[in-house]
Amino acid sequence: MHLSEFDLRAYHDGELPPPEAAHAALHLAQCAGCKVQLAEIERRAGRVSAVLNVLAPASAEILGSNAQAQQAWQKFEQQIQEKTSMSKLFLRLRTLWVGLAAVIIVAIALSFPSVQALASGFLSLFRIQQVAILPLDMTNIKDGRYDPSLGQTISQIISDQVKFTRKPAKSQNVADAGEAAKVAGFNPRLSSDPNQSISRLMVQPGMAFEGTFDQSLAVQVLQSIGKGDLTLPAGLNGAVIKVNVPDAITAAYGTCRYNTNPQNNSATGGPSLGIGDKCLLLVQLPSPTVDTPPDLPVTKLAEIGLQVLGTAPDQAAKIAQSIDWTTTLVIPIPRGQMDSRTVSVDNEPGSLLIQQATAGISKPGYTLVWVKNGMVYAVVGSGDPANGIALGNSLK
Amino acid sequence: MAQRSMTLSRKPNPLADRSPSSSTGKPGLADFEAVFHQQWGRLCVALYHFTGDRAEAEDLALEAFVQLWQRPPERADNLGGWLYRVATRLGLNHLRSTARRDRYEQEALAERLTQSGPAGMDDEVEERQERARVRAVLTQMDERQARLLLMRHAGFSYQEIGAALGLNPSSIGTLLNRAEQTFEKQYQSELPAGQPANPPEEPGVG
Repeated sequence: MHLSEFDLRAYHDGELPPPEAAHAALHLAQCAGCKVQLAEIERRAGRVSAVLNVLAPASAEILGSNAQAQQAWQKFEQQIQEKTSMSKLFLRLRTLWVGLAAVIIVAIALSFPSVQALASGFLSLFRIQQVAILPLDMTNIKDGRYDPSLGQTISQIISDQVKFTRKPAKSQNVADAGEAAKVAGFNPRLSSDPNQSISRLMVQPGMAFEGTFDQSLAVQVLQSIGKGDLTLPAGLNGAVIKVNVPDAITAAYGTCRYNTNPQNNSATGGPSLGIGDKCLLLVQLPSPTVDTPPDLPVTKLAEIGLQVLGTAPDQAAKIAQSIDWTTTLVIPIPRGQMDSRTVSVDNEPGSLLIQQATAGISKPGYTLVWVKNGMVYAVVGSGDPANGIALGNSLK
Repeated sequence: MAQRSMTLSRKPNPLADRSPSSSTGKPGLADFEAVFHQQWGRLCVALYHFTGDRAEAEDLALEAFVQLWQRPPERADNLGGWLYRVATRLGLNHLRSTARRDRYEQEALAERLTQSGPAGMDDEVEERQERARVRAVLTQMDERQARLLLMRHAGFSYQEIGAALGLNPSSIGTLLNRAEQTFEKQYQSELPAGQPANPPEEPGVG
């Protein structure tokens, strides 16, 4: 009996277990037909391998030494921190922030201004003046995580097109409000309630990045996520957008849980905060800004972004037109997982997001977000949201 | 032929023996660091075969680990396969985006050659052109075939390729033969800019 195509190939590749390899060698010594077939496999594999070698001209052997692995590990830790620094502030509401990140990413991916307008020097500045909560059926985002294929394609355009001009960095503890102001560049407003004591004060350095729009790539991304029917506005190709997120100051009130595991510290760059019943986190930062030219078709791009997230086309058009995207921080929340309502806090309208109570969560987490005088504030806590509102009202 | 046990990975795979260190099943940072150091060099060398650029290979390897950290697979028994799958997908994506850039370069080159003639080509241009041609062929191929070919070329075992691509290891050999045939056929038909087709070295192959 002749050797099968698989056996011949596996023999050539050294993938046959020893007894079978010995058997194959024995057979090959006697069978001219199998020998010819093996020779053909060998020649073809050799030719293809030689052609593929042009992709990697030099030897790869010097890659991956121990020293390089150690350096890479440090980079890895830094990247993990960059990717988690945003959501770390809002531990219990990671789902929400992933949703927000998705919208920001889609917006970045889709909303680069035209080069010509940039050259003319007329930039409009997006500045947050209000917050809007947008409950969405995010059919492309499951359980608060990206659909892997969506995440992958989007991260591809991001990594290709986005350059950090200020990289996210580790948060640092500061001794008091004076030091926080010196590091972050603005005076934090803190609680005037004598019963509220600060257990830790931290500054989370901001970040800045700019991206360049590649129209053909964007079309490809839309196609790869099954949205090839969406038409991008013309004239965006090669355009640059600049996003700047200033330093944020976080004040932890009451008894918060700190992760003291040094291993964990090195991964995330600082102590991670857990929000217990008696812990409130107050985060504040000057409004992030987005530089774009004035002719950017923001509403149209938002409409496309909403459709990418899974909103039906007519619904997306309606929502896109109802929001002033240039002044509004839009926080999309997955419908059915959070409740939202508007409350009054710090003499401003605030958006209160409450995790829906499920079995096993006796004190659901909440986030309260509002904007005052160009600053964005958030209080994160669990249990009765009245405590968070009271903290917001006591700021001075 | 009777059922056979395939040869296992040449090195024991630390990812495969990982025991979950927390109730969530996510590996702890210490576990992760051990796996990172064991797999880092291997992954970089493999990805270098996709990128032809050391720094880019390292970037992609890093990205694969970041993704593993962020989205650990639900089943712990195929972590190695998961890592290789993500890494080779990143590698192929990178190759495709390079192929897109190649196209612009090729157009510019073709224009230059119509002005100066093929004599205007130096060795470096020729090498770049050949790389572009190989990338173009891989990009046109069925994705699974391209990954199969590149993974094998990068030195992965049948077992590892099977785990990464969700294939039965005992089908890999035959699939590799097919992938090579497809590659050769398309390689012959993918002409370098401004050059006549090379006659096939082995007539009748494919």
